Amino acid sequence: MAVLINKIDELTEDDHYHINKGDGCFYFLEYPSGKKDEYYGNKNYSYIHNFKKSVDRKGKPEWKYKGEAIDETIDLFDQYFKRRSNISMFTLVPIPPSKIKSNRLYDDRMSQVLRGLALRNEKADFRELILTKDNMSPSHEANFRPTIQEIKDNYKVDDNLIKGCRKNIILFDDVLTSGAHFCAARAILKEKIEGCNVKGIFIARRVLPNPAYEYDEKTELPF
Amino acid sequence: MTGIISPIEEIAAYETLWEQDKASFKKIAEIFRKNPGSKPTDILNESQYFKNLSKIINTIQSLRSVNKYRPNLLINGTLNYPERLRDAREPVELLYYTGKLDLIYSKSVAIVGTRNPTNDGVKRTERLVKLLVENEITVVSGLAKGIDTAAHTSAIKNGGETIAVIGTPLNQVYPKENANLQDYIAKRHLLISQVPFIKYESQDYRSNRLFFPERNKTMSAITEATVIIEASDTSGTLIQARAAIQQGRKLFILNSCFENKAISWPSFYEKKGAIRVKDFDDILNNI
Repeated sequence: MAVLINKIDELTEDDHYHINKGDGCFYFLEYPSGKKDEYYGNKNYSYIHNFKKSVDRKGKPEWKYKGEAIDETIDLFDQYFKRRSNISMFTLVPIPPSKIKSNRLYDDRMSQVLRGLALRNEKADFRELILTKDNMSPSHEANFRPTIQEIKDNYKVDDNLIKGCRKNIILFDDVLTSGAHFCAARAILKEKIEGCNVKGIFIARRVLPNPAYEYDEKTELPF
Repeated sequence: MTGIISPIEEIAAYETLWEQDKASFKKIAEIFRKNPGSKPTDILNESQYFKNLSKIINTIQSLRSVNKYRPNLLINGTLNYPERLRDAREPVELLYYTGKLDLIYSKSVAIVGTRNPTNDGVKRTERLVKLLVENEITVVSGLAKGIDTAAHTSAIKNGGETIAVIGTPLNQVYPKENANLQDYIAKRHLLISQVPFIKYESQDYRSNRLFFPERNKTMSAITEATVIIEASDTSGTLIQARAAIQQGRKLFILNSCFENKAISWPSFYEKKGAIRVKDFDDILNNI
């Protein structure tokens, strides 16, 4: 059965600080963010976890799961665009990885997905339009959260790739958190490519647990 | 059928389907059976559900601001929707939840029974739940008085996980004395409801009572097995017994139920395939 993609709307926009329902951001599934090892066989969690597996695991037995997660994502996107029959309308752009190409932890997983998608769809237009200037800590590891401006200042658009770019651009990333990277990438594209429309497709959106209960472990249970 | 959904619009459309004449889970399941692959918004047009959109947005905002919940939905056709819900005779297309969704994919057992248990019934519940928790099995129940309450509270006290599948919408509690328990489960565990907000609010308690047995079918569908601790011949718990058998789930009945000569349902369900539990290991060995 074909899989539905969800729009960020009034149900979920408050979970993503920089995003609101008008931004055109879409996701396939919910990805929990809590304590590790607490996911009780949730296959969606394993899928995203494997997709994001750090490049320093390369060569280890677990590495094959990353390849499988990438293939699964190609299938997911392919199925989506085949159902929509509109891939020819868009230029497909990955939100760039946090590391530059020469870094040993450079991980172009989303480019691999879009390249795979383009191989199956001759009308697809995939471009690595945005590049990272300097290495950034992945946002989930950073002690401070960079602002949209700081992220944008660290991006550059590859001028060689602008020509022939379609007016409608979709930015791709694995997990939507606050939406800061999406906003920064969109901002730099809008500066460089006049009149472009930018939307976002994410495999998953991060779901935080409900706000901490006011009773801690030592407090007597309230019932 | 565009493949794209706005969850809030699907909720508004689904809630609008519930306002149709004589709406029931059965009728709504029939609509979707006749329109395979359809979503609520494919069945109604925007002008029909538009009026409910702002009501639902208010309900969601109030759950966020008053209850401090992040309410969410599971809708058929999305990757998060648990396939095992389709084993129900009248599968729910859409349900609401708040809390740790992961638990719905975990190995789980439903513990159900009467609202007026004996002391022995409560003790048996507590012993069984402790054993399930020790084996990292999620304890699912319906937040009712009696056995349900004992099941949830024992799971929590033993440091285990629990899911409450309630017969009210997420923004209501029944019985009132379980308000803290429901809130705790929502914030630390998982709270699930298939009950439409608007319909529930618009009709009186006599009609709303019909939602309670419906949630038993869902409880059975999301679990590997149901255990009945104690129940009378007319208990709503038996709805779940029937659902478990229909859905191909294991049904366990404590031996003490068979020893009660005033009731006939245990032997009836044993003939249909239920497993008589003389030792709690009978449960662990069969799931």
